[in-house]
Amino acid sequence: MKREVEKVLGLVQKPARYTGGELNEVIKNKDEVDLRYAFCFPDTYEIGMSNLGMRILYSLINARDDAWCERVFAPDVDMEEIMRQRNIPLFALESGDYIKDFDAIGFSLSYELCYTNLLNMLDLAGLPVLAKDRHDLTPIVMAGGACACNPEPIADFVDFFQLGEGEEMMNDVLDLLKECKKNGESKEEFLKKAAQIQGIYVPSLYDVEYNEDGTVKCVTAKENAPEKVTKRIISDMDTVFYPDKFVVPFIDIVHDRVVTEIFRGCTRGCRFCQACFLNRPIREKSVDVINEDCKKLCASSGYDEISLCSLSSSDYSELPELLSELLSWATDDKINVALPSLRVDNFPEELIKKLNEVRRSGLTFAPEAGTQRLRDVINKNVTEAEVLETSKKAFSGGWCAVKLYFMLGLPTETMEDVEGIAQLAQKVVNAFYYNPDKPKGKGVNVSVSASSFVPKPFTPFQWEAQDTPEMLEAKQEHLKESVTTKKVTLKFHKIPISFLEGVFARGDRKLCEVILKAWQKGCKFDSWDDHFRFDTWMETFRECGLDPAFYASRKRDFSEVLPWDHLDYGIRREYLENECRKAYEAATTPQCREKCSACGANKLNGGKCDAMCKNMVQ
Amino acid sequence: MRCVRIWFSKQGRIKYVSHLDIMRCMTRAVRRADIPLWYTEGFNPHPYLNFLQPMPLGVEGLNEPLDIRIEGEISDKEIMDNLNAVLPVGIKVTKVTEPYMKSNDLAFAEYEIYFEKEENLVADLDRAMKSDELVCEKMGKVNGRKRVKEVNVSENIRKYSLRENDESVIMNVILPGGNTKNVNPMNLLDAVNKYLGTDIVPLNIVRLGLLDEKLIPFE
Repeated sequence: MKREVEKVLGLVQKPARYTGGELNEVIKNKDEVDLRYAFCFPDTYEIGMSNLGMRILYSLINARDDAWCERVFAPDVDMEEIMRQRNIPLFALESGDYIKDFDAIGFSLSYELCYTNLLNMLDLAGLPVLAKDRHDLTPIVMAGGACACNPEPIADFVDFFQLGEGEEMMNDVLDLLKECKKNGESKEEFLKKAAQIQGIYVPSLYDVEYNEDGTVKCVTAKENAPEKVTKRIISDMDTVFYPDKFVVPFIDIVHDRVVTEIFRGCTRGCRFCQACFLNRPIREKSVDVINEDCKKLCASSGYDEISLCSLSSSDYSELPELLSELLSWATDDKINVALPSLRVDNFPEELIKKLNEVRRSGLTFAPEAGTQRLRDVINKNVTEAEVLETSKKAFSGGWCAVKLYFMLGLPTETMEDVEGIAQLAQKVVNAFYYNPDKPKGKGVNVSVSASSFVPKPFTPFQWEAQDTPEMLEAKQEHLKESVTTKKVTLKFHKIPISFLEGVFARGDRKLCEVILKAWQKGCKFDSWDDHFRFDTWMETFRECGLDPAFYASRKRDFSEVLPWDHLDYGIRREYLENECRKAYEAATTPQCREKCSACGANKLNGGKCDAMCKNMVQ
Repeated sequence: MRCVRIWFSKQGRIKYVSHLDIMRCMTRAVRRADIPLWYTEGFNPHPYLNFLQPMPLGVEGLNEPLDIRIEGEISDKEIMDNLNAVLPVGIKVTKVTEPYMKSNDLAFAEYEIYFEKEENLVADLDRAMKSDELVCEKMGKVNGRKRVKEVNVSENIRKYSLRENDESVIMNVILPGGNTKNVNPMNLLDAVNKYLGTDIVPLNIVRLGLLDEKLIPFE
């Protein structure tokens, strides 16, 4: 750690965010590696350290003898102020060295509202924020993660994007960078070569033309870059790299536990869910491999909780086998196994008991919409009876608090659907009181969290208009009025934040200017209620002559060229269009294990999809 | 079940890890260390750890006690070696003993505070420490409500001395550090700065050890 940093640590909140030195951090000799990689997460330490992608790639890069990957997080505002006052550039936690001297800077983009933080971190590092102003090969700036599926709003700042899963792609990129650095090649030469790696999107090699109405006319590749960039996937989850050590933070982070993936992708096809479509095809990890990963990670970290990570845990084909394997040793070691993202329709009763052997965790259901009609529209194939049945089981099992997640502003939603949310919550409350086995002497608390729906690229709703802030406000008010019991507590997302998210999610390159200007005016940490400056954003849109409603609240025609149409995530556009049409008819699509609906993602994996081969008679 | 007292040092950048976080860190370390732990018998079983005297943020410690409860056969040396194999950089177990004294016996703590060398600093500090008007502001409870309270530190300084070496000025001071009364060395420094009208930031603060009522080292 540099002395000037050490001097200021006494002056900031939670100084352990900036010291490094945690268990299992990787320290190497910088003179013995060819590449130094700064893995940047554009949010605070607590958020970034919880990110599984970062944990995987950190270990993966450090498994190479020729590279040293270090962690960098966005300093909180108090630390940033001091760093700027005293001219301390952004540094990496492991060595304390300034990241402007590194070879590569990689950002993980999990949500759209971190974009200003990305600019802020580049600037704090002492680097120009615009890619065209950074002339040298190193440090090269890359980004990946969920938002890379439509990176156009930040195309001017990042040299290239990694689309899809990074485990193999990252090594290909680093191999190329190492070679280009050795041969003294220019940044342009490197980028041209990088564009040939599957999954790499170099925005500077694509020209975008617009129509008069502001929509995209066409995107043209140059310098031999592929017309369509196809995302990269891992074909075998059992042999792919997975860390056996996690850096164990000192301070409390958001997800402070062992996390193991059990499968990628999702079979359900809920039409609002971007994660489902971005991560297809389904690829499962086998019971033995998951079990071994968990054992190793628990032993090396000392964590007392394991979380099995996937988009819908109960859809794992061998869940009972997996749980009995895990619980066979975890219970003795007083380790709790948590199973997030359970579906209400197939929550097996005996599992409740098993999972509660060590410690009891919370219970959360996501019916997403208040009425059956709207649940059919979004293809969330869950019925009210199932929600109530599962709640009853849970109440009998001793729970007396249930969380329900809903969305407001879903396509075709009416005020009746909004009332349905309150009614469903009320029915869950009633289910508690009519239940003869309910926990004695306790009341029930049903916590309803209603977020605002944001249409996302690569989903069947990518053409939909997001509800305007006014409409969302009216719906929130109506929901508040519809709840008549104190047993139900309501939580809402801030509407302006969802609106801005909606703008960025389906934005194009014209937004780069807005983001740059808003950041210059001091916008950062936009996903944090207390830092979000909506008025500044709106002022900036006006100055740039852009209407945010054009991006968020406008319904697109199927014939429109979308800003991300030159990126290919495996899902056929016709499939998405068809799903969108079915949504209007409230027609559901069966989940993948029942019937393959030919989304097209299996072409990425040589026609293989675990949803088909494991449970279907072909 | 038997109770053992683990003595550890905490030095370097890990001093910026707060007491609560050190507790979590040590809980995980004893879990990793293959020590047959005794678990509490409630709905949320967890190992029993008792830090006798929390450490202020930014302070190094040389001789800090931690009581744990174990169940099963393991020697004190094994406990020490197993722990040292899994602890993060900066924390080291120096010995493992029986708990001879009770936590109620704790009364004082001895600190060394390092300052950047400056002319007249020793004399200034001496003047401040001798005065009986050293006052600092501290969060405390007045009639059950959280308020900023003025606390007179002078009457709490049990003993102090000042010395100099080539690089720094060092103050050795014994402050209350027991279950009923506790003065953080940062509070003392605030009071000194207020008295002198200065803005001195220490280079480092080290807690040498804990003492009982008669200033006998805690065991």
